[in-house]
Amino acid sequence: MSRLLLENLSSLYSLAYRLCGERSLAEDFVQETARKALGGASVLRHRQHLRAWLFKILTNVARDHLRHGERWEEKDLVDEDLACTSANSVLSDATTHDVRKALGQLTTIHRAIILLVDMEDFTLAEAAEMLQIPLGTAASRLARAHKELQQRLAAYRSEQVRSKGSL
Amino acid sequence: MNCPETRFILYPSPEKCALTLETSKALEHLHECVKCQEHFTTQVEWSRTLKEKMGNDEISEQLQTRIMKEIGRRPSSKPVRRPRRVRRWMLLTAAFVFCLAGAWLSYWWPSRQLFRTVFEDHARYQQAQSQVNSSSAEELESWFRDKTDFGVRVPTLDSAQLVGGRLCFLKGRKAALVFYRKEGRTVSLFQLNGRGISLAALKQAELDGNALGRMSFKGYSLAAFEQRGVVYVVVSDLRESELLNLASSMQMKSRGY
Repeated sequence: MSRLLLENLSSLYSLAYRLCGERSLAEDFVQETARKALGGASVLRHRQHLRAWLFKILTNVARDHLRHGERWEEKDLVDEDLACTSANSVLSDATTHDVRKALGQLTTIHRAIILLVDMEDFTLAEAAEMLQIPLGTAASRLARAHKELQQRLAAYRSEQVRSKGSL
Repeated sequence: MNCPETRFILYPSPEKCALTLETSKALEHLHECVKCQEHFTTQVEWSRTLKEKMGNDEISEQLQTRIMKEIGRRPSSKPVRRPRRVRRWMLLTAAFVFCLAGAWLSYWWPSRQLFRTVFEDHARYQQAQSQVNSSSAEELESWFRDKTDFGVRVPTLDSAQLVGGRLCFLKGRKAALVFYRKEGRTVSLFQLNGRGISLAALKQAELDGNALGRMSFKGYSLAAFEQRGVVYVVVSDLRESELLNLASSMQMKSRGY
């Protein structure tokens, strides 16, 4: 468990930081995750899912904390069309700064699903379990998050084009 | 399956979608549809680009120290080694149980297979010609004499008519097979040398004080018992209760010799 924890420390910290946006709070989340993981490792039955289990602990820690500060909103208002293709050009043309900014402006629940599925390569089912939501909700939420991210990146690009034009 | 359905089922990509009954159909469609392949390539590319753009955040030395302290606080996760004497006893017990299970299986399994073969033989050859046609038990017994390494007994029954008999081979064993007719159905009575055959491979039943083994397979029922070193196996597609009654009567008759 210690080895797995150290191997994933950077990913855990990145996820925590991107969820809460504060370095010191993210470090607290990771430490709390480590404490719980080390304490519960002896009773863990399915060792093949250790990594998912580790991220689930972190997600729970972050959700409990952020919910308390009303920064974790669980409402999903719109069912999203899952058959839509993500516009990759918008993302590849954007700067790292813009991508980070756009992601930071998404709601925490949308940010969380993108980070777990796209960044950490968990399956939709694993992400749904970590976030304690039904599979259909997870799929719809991911599609919505992709769409919002694209819209924000597209908006930044048009702003940049406009400001260049005015110069 | 069409493109929107496939994209819905395999969302967000075939590697990360939820496994359902429809997944294989969707994958079949994906295999043939270039547009869907392009769609999912874009989805995967999206994830890759996002990872590239975002990267991982550097962790501070302070966090590393905090985590190392947490790890240091925990007792070693290595399993506690039991004393050598206990380990030796556990190993011996496991070996003994393993041998016992192996011995039991090697005795039980061939018998189980033999009873399956009895079913198959009955199902396949019940309409075949007998080698000897007779309704006389004495005539049949004399026909079998010197043809087997055990004494063949042919029980006569009030409820079933004796038809004939033949020799057969089951898993390399010579068996005497006697046919009866009951309510228009064939009832086969196989008799085999009981050496190496375990009735424990069958479910146990008791009827009128007679211990019987029973088994059902593909619509056929079987009842078996052992008498003086000979195993008697009765097979038919009669109801199991009827067959057990018949087998019980045969057991009593054969005991009367």
